[in-house]
Amino acid sequence: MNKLFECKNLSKDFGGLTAVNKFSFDIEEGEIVSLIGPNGAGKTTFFNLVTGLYPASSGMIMFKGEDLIGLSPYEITQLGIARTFQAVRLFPDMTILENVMVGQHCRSKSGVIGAILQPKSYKEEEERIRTNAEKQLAFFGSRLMGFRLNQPASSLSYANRRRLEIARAMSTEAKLLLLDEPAAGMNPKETIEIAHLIGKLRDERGFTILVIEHDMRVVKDVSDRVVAMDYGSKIAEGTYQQVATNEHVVEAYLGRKGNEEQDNAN
Amino acid sequence: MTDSNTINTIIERKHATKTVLIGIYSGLVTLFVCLIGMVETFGARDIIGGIISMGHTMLIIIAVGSGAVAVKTLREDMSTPGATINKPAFLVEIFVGVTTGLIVGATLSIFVFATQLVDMRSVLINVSPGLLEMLTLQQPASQVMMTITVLGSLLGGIGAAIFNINPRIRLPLVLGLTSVVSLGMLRDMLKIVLSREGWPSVLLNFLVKNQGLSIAGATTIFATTVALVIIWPHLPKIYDKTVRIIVTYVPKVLQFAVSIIFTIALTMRVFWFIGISDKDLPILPSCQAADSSPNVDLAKCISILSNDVSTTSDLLGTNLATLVSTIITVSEILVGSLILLCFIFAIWNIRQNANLTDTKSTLEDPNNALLIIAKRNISAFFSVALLVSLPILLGVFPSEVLLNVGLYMLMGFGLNIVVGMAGLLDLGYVAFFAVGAYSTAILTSPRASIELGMSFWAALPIVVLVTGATGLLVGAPVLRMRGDYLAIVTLGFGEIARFLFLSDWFKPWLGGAQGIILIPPVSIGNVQLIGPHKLYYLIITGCLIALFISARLRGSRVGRAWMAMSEDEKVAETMGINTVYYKLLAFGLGAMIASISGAVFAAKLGTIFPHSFNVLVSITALSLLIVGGIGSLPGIIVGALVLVGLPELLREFTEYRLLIYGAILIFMMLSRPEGLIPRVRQTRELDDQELSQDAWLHDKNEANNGSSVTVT
Repeated sequence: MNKLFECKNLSKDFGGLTAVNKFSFDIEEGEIVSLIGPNGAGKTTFFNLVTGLYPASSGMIMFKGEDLIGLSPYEITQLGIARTFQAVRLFPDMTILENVMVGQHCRSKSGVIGAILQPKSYKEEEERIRTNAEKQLAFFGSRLMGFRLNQPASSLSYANRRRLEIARAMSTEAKLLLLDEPAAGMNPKETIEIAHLIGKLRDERGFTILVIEHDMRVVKDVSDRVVAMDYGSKIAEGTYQQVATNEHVVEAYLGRKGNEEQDNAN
Repeated sequence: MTDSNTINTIIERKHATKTVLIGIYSGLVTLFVCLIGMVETFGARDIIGGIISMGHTMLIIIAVGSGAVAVKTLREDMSTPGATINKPAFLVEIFVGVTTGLIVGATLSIFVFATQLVDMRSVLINVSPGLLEMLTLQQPASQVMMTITVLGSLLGGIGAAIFNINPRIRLPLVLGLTSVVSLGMLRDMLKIVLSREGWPSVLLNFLVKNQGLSIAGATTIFATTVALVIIWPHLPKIYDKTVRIIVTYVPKVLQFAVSIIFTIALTMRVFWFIGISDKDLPILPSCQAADSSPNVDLAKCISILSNDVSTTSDLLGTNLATLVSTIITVSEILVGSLILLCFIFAIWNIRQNANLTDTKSTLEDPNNALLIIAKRNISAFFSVALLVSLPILLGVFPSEVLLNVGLYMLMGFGLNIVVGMAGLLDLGYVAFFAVGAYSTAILTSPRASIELGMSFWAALPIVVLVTGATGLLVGAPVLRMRGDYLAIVTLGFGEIARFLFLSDWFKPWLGGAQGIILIPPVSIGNVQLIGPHKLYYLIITGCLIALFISARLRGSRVGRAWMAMSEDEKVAETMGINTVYYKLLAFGLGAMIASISGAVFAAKLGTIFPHSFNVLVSITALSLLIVGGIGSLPGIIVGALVLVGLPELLREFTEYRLLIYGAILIFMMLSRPEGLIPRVRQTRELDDQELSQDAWLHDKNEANNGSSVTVT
């Protein structure tokens, strides 16, 4: 199988602190990979490096054979990587539909002149963006549909905001989805649903998924492969069973017992 | 707060303290307006001729207001959860009102008494005999002290009682009185408008008496307002029915014919109006020379105009025959119809976009669809007709006010793209206005350094492009900044622009402090647009085009990108939006729209100086957005009318203009921070029940606390 995503010796320093340290790892097309590790292990920093929010200090990131280093976040999105955020970051004053329509931005091209004169091509494109957005929302059942389409995103409940954020990422027509703790703050029922949803995203929509998750039930359910990180480096990789029994991983978690027990319980 | 609400104590101690405080504040306000001379100046002008002056009205409003505010505060305080009695008794309220009124009256009477003992004039120069005469109603001071105090308490009581009147009576009453007072204030404007050709002179004689409104006039105004307020809720139904009848019973051909005839008639009328030779209006150049700031000194114009109104109307009559033949050439009719089509097209489209929900219901019911389209066309037609005929109806001076409103409104539309849509707080917007004005001047004035002497229309595209480029130039260095930092930097850019225009460096090209003179007026065909009543058409066309562009952009892919960027720049970028491009686009487009406003400004004045482009222009443009409701397009129109139009109308009270203006701004922001006409989305959001249950927006860290409540 061809490698969809690959990074080699990726490092990121913040002054003296090395948040990501010579991290090498790859994802094959159609895989669901979980990235685990204690708080501060550098998981979210890694996401920020991949999406271009932080410039990498050294190393390389390849996606579909193209080097991502030095590209702007919007160019990376255009190439086919979309993400969600750990603390949900929607556009709260925009409607639910608009939030998802924004995701289509890089797949459409009408500009100012088109918007003012509204030729046929503009109207068709708008229609396409709209239908596509509704299609993404429909993926989550009736929760985000109907009267809700034209309500501001800030009117949604917490769990629905998480779903909307995933819908927005889906609508960029990405190949690779980066989900940053999709189950954080959800109740047990919703957590099971999210795990089910991640599977569905791959099986029905063909996304390749890299997910950061603390909830081990979700990790166990969804992952083809698990990568564990600590202090910015990869400490283990393999199936859930392999990683869960790896002594480095156990050490990384139990070494900070006070904090991590809460995280695991969560 | 249990047994304190018994009859014995009547009112709780803390409420009593508050009431007294409100009374003292109101008393201080009364003293303040007396001492700064406002009461006396306003006293020279009658609301109702010979009966009540504006100065007295002001004092009355303060006294009544103090009572009303005290009662309102009391009610709010008492409705806090846990109180045994949530609403104060009627008598308690009256008592509170009377107390505050009493304090106001007493303050005033002590002041009057004090003036008898000490000569305050050496320090407080406004304590003139005229003021005392007003306060004492020309009676010996010792006798009126009691009267003033009693009157004060009475008015305070009335203020309190207002709250206990049934709202169905209260609303017409209050609005009726308000309209009498405001029309009384605008008496001069009323006089100028009504003495024009076309308005029956009976109306003028009936409404206006030498110093103010006539009693009959005031009564009529009051009655009309009351009647209007009462039938207002029924109007949509009546309108609906009328339109339904027209749609069902009047044949399509007839509808079409009538609208065509109306359109042609209106076009002809407007062209006849625009075509009146400018030499016939000798007053205008002097108006222009009076002052070169955006607000031409209208006080002077008023005096000139009121003498010349009859001359103007004479000219309209006698020169008719010769004018009609020369002016209405085929080319102008063509151009005119095009402009008119633009209007109709613009308004029709905006309404179409606004009524998305309507369009959905049309699909289900074809009859309904016809009705909605008819309503849309009719309202579009009448809006255009009204806009087009305003200068014809109102005359030169009100057109001048409207022209200034238009200049700022156009800037408002431009700034709205930058601030309202893209979320980039720009305090140096005047720079683009100035670049627009200066580049127009350089390209068109034969006296300018390069002596091009182009026509306005040939210069306009160049001006727009040049200013757009300036927008990019200013935008580029500030790409990484947001919010407050951006505001400060752009503020600096605005000032730099002014100093560059003023500098000796550029003096050979830009004229330094002397500016550029002899900018030719705009001409269409062989008609020169001299005078605000003609330039009005130019600026209103500009405004409508800007409105149209803004409305179209807002709902488009570009508008969504801007909105996303203004809400969360980082996320917008990871969602595939090139924020650098969209920021520059916003700066460029905003600059282009400001440049059109600047071009019209230059052509209007004929001369431009650097000092016309100070920071106040930027601030006014920004505050009209905020007062109107940021991001709301109707808000810009209302904001411009309130913030630019109102001060123009208050020009007679120049000294107090900024005081009133500032007071209105503070009051507005305290009582309606979301603006006069907030964006629909914002109100919806504020009303939303779900929002109150969920503090997500205030506490983004929730995501990390697994304990947060989740509701689906």
